[in-house]
Amino acid sequence: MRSDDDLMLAHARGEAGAFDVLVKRYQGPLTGFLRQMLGDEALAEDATIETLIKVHKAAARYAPQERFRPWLYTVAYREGVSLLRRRNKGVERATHSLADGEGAVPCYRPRPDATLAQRQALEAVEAVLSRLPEVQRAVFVLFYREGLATADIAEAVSIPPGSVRAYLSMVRKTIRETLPEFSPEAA
Amino acid sequence: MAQHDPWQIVDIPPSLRTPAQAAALRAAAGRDAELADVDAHLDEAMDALRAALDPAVSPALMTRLSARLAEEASPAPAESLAASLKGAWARLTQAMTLRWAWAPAALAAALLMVFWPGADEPSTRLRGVSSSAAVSVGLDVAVEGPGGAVSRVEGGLATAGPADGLVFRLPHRGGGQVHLLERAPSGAVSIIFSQSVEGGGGPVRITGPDGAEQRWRPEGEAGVWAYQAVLTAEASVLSAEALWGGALPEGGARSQIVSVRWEGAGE
Repeated sequence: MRSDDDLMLAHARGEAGAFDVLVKRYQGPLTGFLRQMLGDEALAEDATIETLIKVHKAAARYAPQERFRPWLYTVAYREGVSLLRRRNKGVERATHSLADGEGAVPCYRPRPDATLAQRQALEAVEAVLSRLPEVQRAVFVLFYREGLATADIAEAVSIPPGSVRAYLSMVRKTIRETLPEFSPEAA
Repeated sequence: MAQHDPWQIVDIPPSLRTPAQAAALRAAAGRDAELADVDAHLDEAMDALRAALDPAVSPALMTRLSARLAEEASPAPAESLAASLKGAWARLTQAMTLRWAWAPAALAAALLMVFWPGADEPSTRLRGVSSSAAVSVGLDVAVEGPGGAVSRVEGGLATAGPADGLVFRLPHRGGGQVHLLERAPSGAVSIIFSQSVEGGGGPVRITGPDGAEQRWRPEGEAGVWAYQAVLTAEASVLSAEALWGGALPEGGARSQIVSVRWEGAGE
């Protein structure tokens, strides 16, 4: 499998199909990340498209040492926050946190063969995430879903690595307190 | 180091930890109260849930992305109006030029030709010219139907400045080809090519200025191709072809050259 950096450089050189491979590789994960970060399906799709457009336009300036995935999620996070703020008409912080389940739309998308237990667990985690500020949601999703190391998340979300660890700790605590099935005792 | 230090392992996402790291973290969490809030149990549970998420590509989103890429390559609305006016003037100019019995200069100016096998849409459009007048190039667009019959021809002289682009939007069915027949002034050229397929499809090939760049899309896949190349003084031909391998699927196949954008360097 060709590396992301290789594909970006190939795209910058004008190689047909390179960008398409990147789009196919990351469209699903990006939408998933933004869906969970933004809590809004339509907004997540908009942000995914804008992110990929920015990637396309930035290809000529891309330097491999930037490391593609952290850079991609940096772009995606900023795009998500920007769209969220635009939608919230200039409100500085995401204010769409929902009261317990009220009006909440499930934003996860389980695999077709996911078990009922998995679907219920995803739903429960989603409900907890939907009540968190966007930065905490983003940190959590980037770590657990997208597999970014804390240093990369710090770069993507523009916060110190220590804050990433603190946010992860806070979200874990919230999940354990809210969802007893995720506590060690339930293992 | 991270292999054994639980405080470094917790910085690695669960999906990337080695089994040894996961085991080390589990063991450390059992004996270190400070590790309670980063316990391996929750990490493992979340990793299992991650695997249950659907990573599927959304065809609808791909289609929207394709349209968005086309917008990026198109001139702004205000420019479009000016472009339309200039385009009309350019076509008039070319019509007058062609009366001079295909003068070599006019032939040398022919820039773009589109073949359109299976064409059945009357709406092939030529859109966009630049707003300043530093470079003049010619262009011809021929749309070819089944059996080689040219069903529509548009053409004209276009004018572009160094910072402007030429955008041709060429909706079609069944595949097409874009040729820059004569050398354009040096500059960046990008072709954005999209294809959506319902129920079947065929391979697509895009060929670069040197003829070397070729990629074939497996049959039946939908997607967006963005092709960019820099035309040098030597380069004269750039082509993109959509070749359907078989019969068009009933009511469903569409391939589209969304745009061809040229940003001349003003030579």
